[in-house]
Amino acid sequence: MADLAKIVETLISGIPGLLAGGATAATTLLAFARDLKKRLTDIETRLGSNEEPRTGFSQTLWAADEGLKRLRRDLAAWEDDPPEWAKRLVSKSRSSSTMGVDHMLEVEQRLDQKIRTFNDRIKGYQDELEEVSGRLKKIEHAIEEDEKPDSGKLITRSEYEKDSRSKAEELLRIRESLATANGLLRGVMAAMGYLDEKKDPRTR
Amino acid sequence: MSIEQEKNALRAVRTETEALSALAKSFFAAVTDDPRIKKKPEFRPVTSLEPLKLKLQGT
Repeated sequence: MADLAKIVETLISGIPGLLAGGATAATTLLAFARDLKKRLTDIETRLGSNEEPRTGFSQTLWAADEGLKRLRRDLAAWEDDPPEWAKRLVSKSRSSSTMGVDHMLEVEQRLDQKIRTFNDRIKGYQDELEEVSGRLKKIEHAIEEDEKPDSGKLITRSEYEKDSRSKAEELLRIRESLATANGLLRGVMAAMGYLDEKKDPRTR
Repeated sequence: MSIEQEKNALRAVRTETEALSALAKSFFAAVTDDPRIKKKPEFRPVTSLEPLKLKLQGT
């Protein structure tokens, strides 16, 4: 029947509408991923490791973000450029002279399968981002706890640099004291005739 | 060793070396003032890491 092609086309044209929820979810997740990126950058800045190569969190976020962008592009492209499987269904229904129940079932199953696949992909990205979010939350909490005045578990970058400067100053003073002591004792020993001037490499 | 222990150890070494330096200064001043020592000592800065060659007995 000629109506079959129309029915299939109607079904296909309705796909973007059916998937509108998926597109919205993808957009929401992209915003969520951006927020996670910002939180991760904040943490890395506070911990002093905001340089390449980034942590595993960044890699996971980057992959999820790219996947979501691809998914959203796919969904957006469907309205103007239907996927191959949809085109095949329309072409098959147009060439068919009868509208069989089997054919309708096939159309229904394929649409159902495709929508399910998209939903699964979105769910996968959502799970991934939520896991990253949970891990970030734990790190943020740990940092907040450790930044309290009575905590001594973690140090900030400025504290680390201050400690390094203090250690370098201590070492410099040790070196200066040793050099002074050495020079004075050597002077006394030379004055008392204890140094072999010819053999002493320091007098050459 | 924790960071705090490391800092304390470094501070202790610095204090000891400063004490050693002060002792060397006192010794230097005492020798300078000692009339028995004819040749007055002069500070000899370290320019090499090679060990001293002494004229002491047994060295």
